[in-house]
Amino acid sequence: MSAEAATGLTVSMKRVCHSYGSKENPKQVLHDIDFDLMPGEVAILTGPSGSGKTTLLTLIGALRSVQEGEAVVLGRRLRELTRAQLVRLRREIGFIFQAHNLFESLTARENVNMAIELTNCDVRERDRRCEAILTRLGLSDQVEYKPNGLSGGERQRVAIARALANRPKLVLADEPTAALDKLSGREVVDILKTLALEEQSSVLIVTHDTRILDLADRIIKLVDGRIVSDTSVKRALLIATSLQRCPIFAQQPIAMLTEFAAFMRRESFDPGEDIIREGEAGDKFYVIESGSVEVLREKTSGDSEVARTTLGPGDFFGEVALLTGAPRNATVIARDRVEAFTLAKEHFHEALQRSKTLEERLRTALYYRS
Amino acid sequence: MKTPLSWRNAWHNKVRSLVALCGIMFAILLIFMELGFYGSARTNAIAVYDMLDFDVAVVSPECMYLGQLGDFPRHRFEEIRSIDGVESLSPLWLQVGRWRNSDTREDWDMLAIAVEPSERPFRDSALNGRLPEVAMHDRALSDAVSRSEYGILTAGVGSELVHHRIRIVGQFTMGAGFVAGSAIITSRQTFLDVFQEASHERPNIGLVKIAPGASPRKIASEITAQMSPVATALTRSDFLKNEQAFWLRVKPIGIMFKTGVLVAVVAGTVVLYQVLVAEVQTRLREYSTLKALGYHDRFVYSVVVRQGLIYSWLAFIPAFFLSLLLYLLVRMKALVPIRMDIGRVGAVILLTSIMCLCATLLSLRKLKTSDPADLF
Amino acid sequence: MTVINKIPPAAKWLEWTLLPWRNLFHDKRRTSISIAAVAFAIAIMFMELGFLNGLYDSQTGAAAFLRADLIMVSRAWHALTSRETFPRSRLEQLRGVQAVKAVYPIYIEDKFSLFRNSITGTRNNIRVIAFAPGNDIFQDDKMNVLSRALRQPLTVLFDWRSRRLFGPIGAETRTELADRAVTVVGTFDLGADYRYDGNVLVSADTLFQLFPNQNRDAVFLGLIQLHPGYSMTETMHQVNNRVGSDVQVVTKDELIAREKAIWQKTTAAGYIFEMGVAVGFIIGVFIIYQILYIEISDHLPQLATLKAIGNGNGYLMWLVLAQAALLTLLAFIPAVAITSVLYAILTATTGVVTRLTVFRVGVVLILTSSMCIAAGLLAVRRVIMLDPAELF
Repeated sequence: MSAEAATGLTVSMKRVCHSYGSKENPKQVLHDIDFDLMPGEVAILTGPSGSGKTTLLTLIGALRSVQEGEAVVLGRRLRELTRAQLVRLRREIGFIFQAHNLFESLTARENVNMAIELTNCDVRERDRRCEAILTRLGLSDQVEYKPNGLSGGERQRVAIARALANRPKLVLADEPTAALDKLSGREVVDILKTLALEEQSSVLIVTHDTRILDLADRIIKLVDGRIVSDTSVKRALLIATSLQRCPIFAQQPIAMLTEFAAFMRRESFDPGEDIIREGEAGDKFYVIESGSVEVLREKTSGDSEVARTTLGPGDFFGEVALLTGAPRNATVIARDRVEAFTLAKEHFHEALQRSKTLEERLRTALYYRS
Repeated sequence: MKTPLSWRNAWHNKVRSLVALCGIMFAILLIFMELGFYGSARTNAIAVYDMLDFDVAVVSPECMYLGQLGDFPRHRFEEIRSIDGVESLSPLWLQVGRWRNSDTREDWDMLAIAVEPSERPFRDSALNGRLPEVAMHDRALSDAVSRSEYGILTAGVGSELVHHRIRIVGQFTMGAGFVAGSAIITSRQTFLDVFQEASHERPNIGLVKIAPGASPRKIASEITAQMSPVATALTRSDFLKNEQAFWLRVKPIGIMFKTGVLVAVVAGTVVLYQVLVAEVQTRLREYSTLKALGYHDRFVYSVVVRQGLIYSWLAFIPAFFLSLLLYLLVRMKALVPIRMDIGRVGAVILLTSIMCLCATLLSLRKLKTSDPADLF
Repeated sequence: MTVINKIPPAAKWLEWTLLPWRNLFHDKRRTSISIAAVAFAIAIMFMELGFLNGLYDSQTGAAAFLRADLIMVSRAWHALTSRETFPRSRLEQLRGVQAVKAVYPIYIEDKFSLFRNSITGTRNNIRVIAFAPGNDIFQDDKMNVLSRALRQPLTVLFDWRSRRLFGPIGAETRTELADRAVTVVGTFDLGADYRYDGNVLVSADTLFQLFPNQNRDAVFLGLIQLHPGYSMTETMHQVNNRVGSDVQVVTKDELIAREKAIWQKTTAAGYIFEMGVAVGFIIGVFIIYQILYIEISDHLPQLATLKAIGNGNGYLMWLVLAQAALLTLLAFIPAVAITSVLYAILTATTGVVTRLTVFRVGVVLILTSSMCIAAGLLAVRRVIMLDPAELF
């Protein structure tokens, strides 16, 4: 097995590219995709249409051959698999299509059974599982109906039942809630969440449905075949909350804040480590995620006293040097292990340029701060 | 028990499936009919010989078939008694003559078989026992299985054979085969009176019975060696096979029926192919879904194959029973000895399977292109 | 109202004729497969018909190729394979009738007529047809000319379509007929049938030389040719009243019809082939119906859209039926081509002439078209019941 398998990532893609069309006229749809998915993680894949989301989904789901780059799914390197191995891999992945793709001549129960029968369990177990998942999705009254006797929403739920019946470790969904009303949509969301929690399954959902955004731990944005942002929701929330406390960013709309959050990197510091030294050039803006720091500043009044401030989770520092261009005016030392999000200078300035009022307010705030 | 996807797919659209089944059923029915007639031709060809009791037959080298037997010298025939293993000899005269239907006054070809009433040339011992009845002059036994054109041929009826008066004294069952629609058995004397060109000294067929345990082939070649060049001898099976071969290969009957079978097989294949292709086309997405779920390609093929088999077998059964009915009708109306036998059922099963295989293989070509990725 | 009504007439006509074409040719590959299948179905029907007609044509061939308006046969005669003859005087009687232009006696021998294969030496029965050469007794004038060569004693004309058992025959071939040396002076085209493996023509003189059992007085067929302008049926009745009770006079067509009937009713072959034709047609219907059903099913979304736009049922029905008819016509041509080839093979291998006449092609065309239209009408029900909302 590979190193990736040891780390337990459900999906690991490195430098994956994909093109369509003929050799003379290729059209590249995915560029250098680096993407990981962990067990228990629920991620949403979003982006404008034509950006390659579906292609990526089919690559991960072993439904399309990987042309370039490395792709490891559930511990197997996709490009090294034989046809038979690919087929077996597919059994461990639950795929929810946008069009339900049910078997027209089979009842709802039989549709789900077709998936369960791939696991070679006995008839009783099969029926039990089938009953369970269909009931869970609210279809216990519809088990004997064929697709043409079901509504659009019911059909979609049968398709979802079929995909999840074997409690797969990886669920790939393409607009699973498109045809569903609010209640059914929530139901699906809950099931997926439970699956992620109980089975530690990874779930990747392509969707535009804003109603289910809260389901996700992570939001990945794909534009023109490139991942332009890959943000953990928790993290984005933390950063946005922190930033809101900073007068500089307070008035910014959430969208702007999340943009900043997307550009932020995570950094760790050991206890006692100097994060910023006074007099250095300023290059980063910091938001503390966990841990605490001590800010030491020489008082300008000539006092040899050192002003000390302690900052904790949610607090920020390092914006002054970035704004003024002057060297750092304080030293910041980590008191314990610190996890912080950092925003590089160019992004900070970029963010600044987005809003004149921001700049003005910033200067005003600075004026009052010193 | 696994989900019967093939079965469900086959019956999903009931009207379509029934139409398809009917089409295939008719094709199989046609195969049964053509093969049936082919088989009956084989039976019919040797209807007469089948009645006779012999292990080796002696005929003129010019003998082509029952309608053209030629003759050979009798005294040379008698000489072969000396050959080791020859148990008894029985010369036979056969000729086709004009029989007048006394009611319609129309003349029809009648096969006349001349026997020596004291001999026992037939396999049916009851028939042999009745031969003395024709010992009297101008008496004959008639074939109960005769076409209606010959009129009533029961005991007591009299009519003319080649303008010679003949009275029927009884009946036997044979079915004269291809050369004529009816047959009569008379004494040698009566025969020679009727057919003036025939001669006591020149029989048409020499029936030879051999001792138990003796090899017919060996004796046949010995007889041939001895009687050459005026006559040749064949074992019973060779003799019968030759007769069948003549009718089925020389006459157009054989080719016509075989072509008929071919046409029927092609028709059935086309119908089944159409049905399967339509199915595959309609369900292309479903097959791709099967692959996406994690079924092997071969499973997907097997779904189609099983569907083809379902259609073929469901069509076979009614075709079989309908054929039995049709055989009965033809036997009654046209007097053609067409009967069902295990060999034929086996042959039709084989042909049906070939039809099914070809149609399925051809329809699977479309399936190869189904790629799960196409589902998007 | 419908959108169509607002389109000017010329364009409307175009819509009505062009759309079926465009529909069909949109997916060339699919359409060619459909055409192939329908062509197959038609060819199957033709094959079965070929077997049947081959039987009838060949059995009646000997009468068909003779030139006569009326034919005299013995009253006991019932088929060309029967051996009934009648006295010549009965035929000669008719010379006095005003309508009668000429009478010719025809003799037939098939019992003692052993023809020797010059290569293998085997002898086989052949049908010998004898007449007085130099008279126009054949339909084909070339044959009338050729037959003059038979004035030479012991000469024969050989039917080159005879079965191969008679060996290769060319002009000047010498061989034996009834154990007498004869010379083949030419070939003609008649064809073997289910009873006779071959035919030869000889002069009446040659016949009596070869077959002492034959005599001038035992005539098999009396050909009666009438002067132009006289009604065949009237003359027939007239003549039948005059001749004796041991003969009958029928029109040539009626003789042929009777011959056909005999073969149809009294032999297994007739039965079998008729069944074959029936089943062949049924299968043909199925195949065609299936094709149309599939075509319509596939075009259902299109048709539904048209309906949604506002076209009436009439237009839709027209589309479907026009497509059906088009498909049939396009399939018919290759079907006829395939059939001609198959017939030729059948004729060559069995000696039984299987003919594709314009009449037969026409009959099958009409039958197939009606089948297509019937199938189309059945399928059209779906179109009428179509609910455009189903599209969505």
